[in-house]
Amino acid sequence: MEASADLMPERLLRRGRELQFERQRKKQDRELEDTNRKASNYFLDQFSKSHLEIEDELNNLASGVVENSLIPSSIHKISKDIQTLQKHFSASTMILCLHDVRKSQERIQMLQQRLHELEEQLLPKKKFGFKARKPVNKETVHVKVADEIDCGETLQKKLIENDFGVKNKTNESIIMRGNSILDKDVVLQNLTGCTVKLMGSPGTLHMSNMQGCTILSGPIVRSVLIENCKNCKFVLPCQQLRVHSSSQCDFYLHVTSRAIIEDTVSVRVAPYNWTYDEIDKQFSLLGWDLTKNHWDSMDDFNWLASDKPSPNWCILPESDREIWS
Amino acid sequence: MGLLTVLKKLKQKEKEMRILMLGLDNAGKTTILKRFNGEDIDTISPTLGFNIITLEHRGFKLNVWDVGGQKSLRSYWRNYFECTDGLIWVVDSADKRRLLDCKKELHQLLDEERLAGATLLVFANKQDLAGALSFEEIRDVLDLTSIKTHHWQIVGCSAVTGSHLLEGIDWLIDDISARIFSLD
Repeated sequence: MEASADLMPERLLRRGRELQFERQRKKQDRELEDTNRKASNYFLDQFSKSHLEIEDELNNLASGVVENSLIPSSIHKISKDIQTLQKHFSASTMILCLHDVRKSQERIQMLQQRLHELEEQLLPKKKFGFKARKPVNKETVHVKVADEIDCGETLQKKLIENDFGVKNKTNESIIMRGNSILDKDVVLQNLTGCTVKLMGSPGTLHMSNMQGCTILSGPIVRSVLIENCKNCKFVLPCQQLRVHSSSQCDFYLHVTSRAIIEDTVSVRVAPYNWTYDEIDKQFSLLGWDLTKNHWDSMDDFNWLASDKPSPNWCILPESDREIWS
Repeated sequence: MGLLTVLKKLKQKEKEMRILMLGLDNAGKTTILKRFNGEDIDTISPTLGFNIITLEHRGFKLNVWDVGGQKSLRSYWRNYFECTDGLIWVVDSADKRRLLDCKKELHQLLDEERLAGATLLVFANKQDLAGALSFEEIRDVLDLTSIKTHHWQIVGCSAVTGSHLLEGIDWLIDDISARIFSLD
């Protein structure tokens, strides 16, 4: 009995303490809620006040009371005020209930939208300014481009004024020999129905814009470039051959590397078969390995499939090959 | 540590550089590459596609990409821009007829955002030919002095004789390494 009598008050005491704790906790909760509510109310008050102020300013703007010159600064101020309000709101979301959060956010958005509308409506000046400047810009750019083209054209003229070769001829037969073309960069350009014989060893050979021509050459030390040629026959030995944008041409080739065609159709190839006095001497001066001739293996840069041959070139049948003199 | 620093550290470990070699067709890009690598240069065909070699030079590992210069290949150049440390632009100094094309293509490249950080070396190639323009003339025609966006240098060289090739490459390596490896 004594023991239980001793126990009783202890249990009562514990219970009393627990009750007291609970009461305290509830009180604290209440206080917290209270402060939260107070803070939330305070925020909502402030928010409404700022909101009202901004709305007033917006109304002022909309009614046209604000002087024109002051509109930009006024808009700037309102936009800043809205920003401050947004910041204040973002910092306070944790003490607000969901409904207040949503409501406040909506109100801020409304303000922003209204400001935006007013800005578009009241500041057409800015837009007009842009429009007025644009054509001026265009003109100067235009002048600059023209300048550049001029300068480019004169430069190009100057660069090719010392070109060596034959240009702008129709139905002529031209022969150039030995030392006159030795190791030179020879240019053939704008020829129609001409026959050109180069009995020597040019350094490079550039041919462009030719129609119905026959070109025969001794060994060209380096490369041959052909552009925009149609219905022509080329009889040439060279290290490299590049053919661009041409069609219906026959080639009688000795080429030490692989020739290429690009944007070119209807090409036929045969082995080189021209001889003249001294050609053997000119060949031997170059020191080429004459057993290496890749006349029948062209690369077509527009035909990248390796399993099917390019339809743009073929081998010229032996019966159709011409003999040159 | 920023991403850039990490990348720099990674590259420093390997001392690796990626070099992209471009230019019009027949400029001599492949010949330069083969000359560096000690290969035969007599039977080089126009490049259909690209060549790549790795060179060890002065303790650096150079990955050199040589991409074909034919018109139909130029639109593929952009596939090689990424991570390029150095751009070598090769010019046929004797091909006066196409120098303006050459200028146009070069300046287009320099506008490329992905090449913004790359060092530019211009090789005025084929100086061994009688008809070649000097590197000063090439510099003026290509309007190199107007380039403010890239570190650049022009060197007159000949891939056939091998003259001044190393000089150009050494400048390129110095400029790139000053930029990539010494910023610690």
